[in-house]
Amino acid sequence: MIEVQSLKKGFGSIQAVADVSFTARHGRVTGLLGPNGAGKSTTLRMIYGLLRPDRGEVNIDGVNIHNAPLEAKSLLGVLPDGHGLYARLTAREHMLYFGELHGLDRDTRETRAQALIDRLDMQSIADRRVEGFSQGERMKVCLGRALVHAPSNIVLDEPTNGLDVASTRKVREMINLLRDEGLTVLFSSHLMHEVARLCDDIVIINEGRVIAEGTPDEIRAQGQSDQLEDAFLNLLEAPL
Amino acid sequence: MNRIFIVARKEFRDGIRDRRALLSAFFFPLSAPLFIYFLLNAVINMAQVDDSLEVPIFGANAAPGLVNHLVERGIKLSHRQPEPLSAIKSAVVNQTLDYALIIPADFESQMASYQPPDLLLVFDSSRNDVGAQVKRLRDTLAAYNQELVSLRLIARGVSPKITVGARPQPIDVASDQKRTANLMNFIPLYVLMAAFVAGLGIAIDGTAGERERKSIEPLLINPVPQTHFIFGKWLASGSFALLGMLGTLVLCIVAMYSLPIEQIGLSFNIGFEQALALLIICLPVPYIAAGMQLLLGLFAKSFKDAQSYIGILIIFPMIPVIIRQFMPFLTETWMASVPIFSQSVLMMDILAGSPYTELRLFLSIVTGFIASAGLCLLAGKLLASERMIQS
Repeated sequence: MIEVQSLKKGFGSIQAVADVSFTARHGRVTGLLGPNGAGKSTTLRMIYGLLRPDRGEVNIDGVNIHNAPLEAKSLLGVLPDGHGLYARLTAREHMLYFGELHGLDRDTRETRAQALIDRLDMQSIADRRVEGFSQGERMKVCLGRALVHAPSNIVLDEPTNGLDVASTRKVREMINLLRDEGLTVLFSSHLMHEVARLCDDIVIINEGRVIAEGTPDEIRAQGQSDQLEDAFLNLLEAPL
Repeated sequence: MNRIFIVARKEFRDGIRDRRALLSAFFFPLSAPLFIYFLLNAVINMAQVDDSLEVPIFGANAAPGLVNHLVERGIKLSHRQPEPLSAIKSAVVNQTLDYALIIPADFESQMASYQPPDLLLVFDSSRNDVGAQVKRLRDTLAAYNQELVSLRLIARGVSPKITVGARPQPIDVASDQKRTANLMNFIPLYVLMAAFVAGLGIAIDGTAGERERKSIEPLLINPVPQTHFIFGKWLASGSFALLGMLGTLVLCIVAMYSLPIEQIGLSFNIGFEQALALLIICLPVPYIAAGMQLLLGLFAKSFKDAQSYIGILIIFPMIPVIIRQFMPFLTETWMASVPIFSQSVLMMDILAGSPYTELRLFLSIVTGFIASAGLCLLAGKLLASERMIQS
């Protein structure tokens, strides 16, 4: 479970996040939805502890990310905005390296890496250096290394950005699978239709504030439209 | 602690797989001693007096006495038909002749009337390779002149000593080894430069490289304190630099031993103990270099940026050698506590055969490692700052 309470963050004179609170629960997919520049990435970065909020707090399964960063981070699997890989390491080595950094022993990390390779259909590329991988293949490596320590919460920042149809579908399948396993899945997107298909709960933010929150049905009611996309636009245009 | 080694192992593996970076990292350290070997070898060959000195001489028939004098002193002559001076000059300019001695046709008659004849020696002073031969020829001619004067004085009942006012007698206190050290200041220079070059690729890849390829964010999300990442990268980059530096040191010593420097009156006496002291002294340098490079690397957002910032660091090991070249000074104990400077100065001392104290060795090592740890802690602070993930 990821609890976010009244987060605020500014960079110089720019107020990136003004006031954001929500809770993402186990066994549910929570979508953080908002237009570009709404403060989604900044919010997520405060959740996984790379940015320190000016105000407010974040708890991962009850552990405060700023008071106990190492413990809280080990409960999180993150697919951040930056998808950088090490060109000279193989896909498997990426997972093993991150597994080691999470303190997994050799047997555990090798078993987990193999399980993820099977699950993500990476058998043919697992032992190749990632240099020259396609976007979809790179995404699989990123997912693998984010999941290798079997976290109970997973945070994905715009996971389908720049992916082709087949890879997008693979990511969506993965999100559903993780939810079914009981994980807390929190992901951000600026695509309403994507959020609509995947999410149990939706948090819409704009200009650094939460403007609507609830299940897709509740959002439709709040946005006064049967279509989520229209509801989303209505909510964005409504005065705060 | 354990995480430090995990990070170091990954960076090391990554570095070894980067063939191009590896080549550039070790090309300089390993080629410098070779270059030095061939250069010094050439210098020694040039400086040696050439037994087969053969002087092109024009108009030799005019001065049989002089010719005998030269031949008696082992100078071979290559007799040439007289030519105009301008033709001989241009032959020397074109290097068809290395140099030439021209005896005027009226040599004997001028001598008979006590008019000093001109002996023309045509040479090119910008040519280092014939410098030693020309000098020998001039010395021989000067000796001939001196002998001639002495004979004339004796013939008039005057002691030739009267022509000597006072005789300068140089007493050179520099030992052979000290004079050799002057020639060898390049060893600390190259060894320290190797320490700054060999680990550079890994240091940049692990800092600016992580930022450029956007792998820094996923990395920092791991439950590992930022300073552990830095110390891991420091260990990997420093160890690479250490390998390069040791390679250079060993090759430099081997090169000096295989050069025939005793032929130019110099000697190289580095025993096992001195070699060990050299090694201990330079041990912290790769790690100081790695600390500096990581810190600067974090300020850069791209590999290229970092290369231009970090390139400047290479002047650090050069400064002490240059200062000593132009403003010679004696080593004092406080100098041993200035990192980089201390290593350079102490290495020069040992190579010169000057005594070194354990205190200085100790100070140099301790301050060196303190400096590098301090740099790492600073880099760790920087890595923890929010600017790292903002592009």
